[in-house]
Amino acid sequence: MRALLTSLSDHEVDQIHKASLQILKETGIKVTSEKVRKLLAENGAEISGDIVKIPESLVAEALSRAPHKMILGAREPKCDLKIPADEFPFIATSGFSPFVDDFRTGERRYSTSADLKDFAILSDYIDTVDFFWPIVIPGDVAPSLQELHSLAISFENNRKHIQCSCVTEKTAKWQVRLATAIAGSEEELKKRPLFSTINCTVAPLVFEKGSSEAMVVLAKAGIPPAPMSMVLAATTGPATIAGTLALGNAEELAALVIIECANPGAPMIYCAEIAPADMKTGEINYGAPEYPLLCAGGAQLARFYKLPKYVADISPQQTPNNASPPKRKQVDTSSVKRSLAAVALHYTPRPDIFASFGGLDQAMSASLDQLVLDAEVYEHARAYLRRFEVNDDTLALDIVHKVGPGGHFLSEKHTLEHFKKEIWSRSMDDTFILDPMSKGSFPERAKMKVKEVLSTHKAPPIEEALRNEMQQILKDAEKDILGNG
Amino acid sequence: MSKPGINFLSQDELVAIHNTSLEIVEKTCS
Repeated sequence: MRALLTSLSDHEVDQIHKASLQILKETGIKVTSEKVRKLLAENGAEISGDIVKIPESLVAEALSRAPHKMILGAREPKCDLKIPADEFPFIATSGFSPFVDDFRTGERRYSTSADLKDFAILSDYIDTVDFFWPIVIPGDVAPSLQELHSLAISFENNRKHIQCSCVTEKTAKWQVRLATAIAGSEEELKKRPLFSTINCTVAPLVFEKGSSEAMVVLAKAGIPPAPMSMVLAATTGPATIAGTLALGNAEELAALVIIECANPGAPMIYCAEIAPADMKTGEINYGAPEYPLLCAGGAQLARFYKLPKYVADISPQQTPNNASPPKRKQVDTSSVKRSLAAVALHYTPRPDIFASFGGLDQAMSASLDQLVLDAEVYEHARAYLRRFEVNDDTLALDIVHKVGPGGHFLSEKHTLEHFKKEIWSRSMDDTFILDPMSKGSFPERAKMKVKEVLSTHKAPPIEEALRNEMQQILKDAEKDILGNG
Repeated sequence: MSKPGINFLSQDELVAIHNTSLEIVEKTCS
């Protein structure tokens, strides 16, 4: 038994699935890549200009081909992630913010390669971070090279699985080249893909040339794309929760069709990150009460298709902190403790993978101390997410009979054997990541931890010959992508 | 849409706990 948040009945899941099929068949998607349109036409889609109508049979075929299990490989094999996740989701950092809140100065500024390196090192150190999404943009690198360089910086400074964005065909090719060098061969990379990608659709129902062509390259290389549908209820989607789910689900199914047409049996991660719009600003509203419910609906749909699930994203403001300059305030352990149930709620849709440690202000910025704080709070929030066994031993019938009416269980061996596992007795003083001897508020202690880790920790180094090969790949990619070669 | 809910016990677990409760009532309390 374990807590599982759901927002749809089985019948409603089926209704949404059928509505998505109808969207794909009758409305269609807009695909701005001629190459991808041709691929879809060859497989039975109906093309009219840049609109592609996808028949139900093509979706069914794609669903039948998509793998239900996968390994997200890591540079260090012991960090490989086996999907589906078992008791807890695998957690990553937030992704690709243009700003960083500098923990040393408190200032918000554009992020750089050096910032990304620090985040990669810190995430390598913290065991709670299962895989790394380059959390800030290396802003000192040419924009068209940022996605490739962010992967290279991450590989060099983090031993775990890397998930990065990829919006052009050329970037995809060079990212695959880089990962192949580390994996040793194309076949090894297919067996244990060392990175996966975020490929956003443009809601409603637009598949841009760059991103869709990148998905084709990645699918052929066995790299799992996570096509991130970001339909916003009331702006880029209907104002209704059911309509928004159907639209987001249609985008996921369309992406799956593209991937399976490109390479039958290629892995894909279902990634409907749909949310309500903030009706006052138009921004994505991660703090809305509908958000975890939409995540739960998305997770149910992914479960219905037996696809790996990546649908939930913690709201950064769920973890109280003082890292965001406009809202700077001191936070004590009791206020963090009060936030635990709210934090846990975001994980109860039970995705396989989950991102957003360290993000601030709807992922516009990020900070190293927030990353520590989010990981620390998550470790405490796990208390709500544990799985409990139901079997003869835990049902404890013999013990109940032995103790009998009016007795007491405290002195029973059964109690001694089970209470540490079943009854959560850690206080907020029993920290997981923060130094238990350090003084001050949680945010102050998080800053101390960041300083300590950055001055003492390094990811296991990449051997020199491989590093040289990676440097040469980056040089060649630069010539190719910037067009001055 | 359905009312959102946090499920905790599966149907099988519910039955197992129900059956255990019946046994407790029958064996321990009789």
